[in-house]
Amino acid sequence: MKHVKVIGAGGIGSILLPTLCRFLNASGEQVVITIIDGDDYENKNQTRQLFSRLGNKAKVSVEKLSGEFPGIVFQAKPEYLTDKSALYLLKDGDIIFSCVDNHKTRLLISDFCSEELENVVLFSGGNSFTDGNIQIFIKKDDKNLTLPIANSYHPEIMKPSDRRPDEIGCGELIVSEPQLIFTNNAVATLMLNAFYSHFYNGGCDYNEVYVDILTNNSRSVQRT
Amino acid sequence: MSKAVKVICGANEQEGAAGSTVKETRNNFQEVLNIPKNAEAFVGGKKVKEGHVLAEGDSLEFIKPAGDKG
Repeated sequence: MKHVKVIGAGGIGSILLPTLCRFLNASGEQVVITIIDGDDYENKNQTRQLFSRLGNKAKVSVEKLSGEFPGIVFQAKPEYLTDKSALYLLKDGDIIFSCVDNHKTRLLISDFCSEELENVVLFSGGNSFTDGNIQIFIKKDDKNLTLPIANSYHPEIMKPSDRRPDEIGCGELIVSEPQLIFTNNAVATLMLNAFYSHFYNGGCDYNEVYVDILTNNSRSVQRT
Repeated sequence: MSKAVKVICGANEQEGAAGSTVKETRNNFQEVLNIPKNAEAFVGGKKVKEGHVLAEGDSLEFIKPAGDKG
């Protein structure tokens, strides 16, 4: 049985999920998909996020996807990932898609996967306005087969300057940087491509991919 | 000078010149490759300083920070 955790159902996550679910539903495999997100869909998200109604992103996503893909068991976790919640949300053997929008959470996920789990496959994606990247972390039998996503090539993840959503005070005004649906889509596609390569085509010979939607280039690289 | 150095940033790459320093190459390609100001330079997978002189066949990568949004 595949236990898939999708952390973040916003720009990247809401685009990634339908395609991932369609593939897994058709595969006939036993799959449990847990969607983790403490945020709500709001009207302003309609420019680039896929949702059927307003409300908590995890709950709304599960509601929609479970009706469309009956072969998959869905769970909604309407909460943000924190040091405490990671202990019960992320388990050994998980396949994790990190679709979050801040490096502080990426660091938490990276540390938890590399330090607390013995077996995990993590696909982490993020973007700026017109470019982005994905990173893959694989741990098997308590050995890192690839670099954690917080590594020396990415000091911005090792020492993030942003904050996790749970660290932002109630009523605090957050000005979000603009994003482009095409870039979210490109990153989601790279994550899904890597998922397919790893689990259905013998593995990836890369652990990071960059994409630029303006030049329409992508480049995969094996970081060691 | 020969055009025999690969200059990379993110998904994009250009041909650079052997004999140039990392700093010169950064300045020459900053706009076309959209190299972030604080991007660290690696040659052959090893971090190098701005004064490092590029040799023919080198692959110079300015590491683009990971995308932070989603």
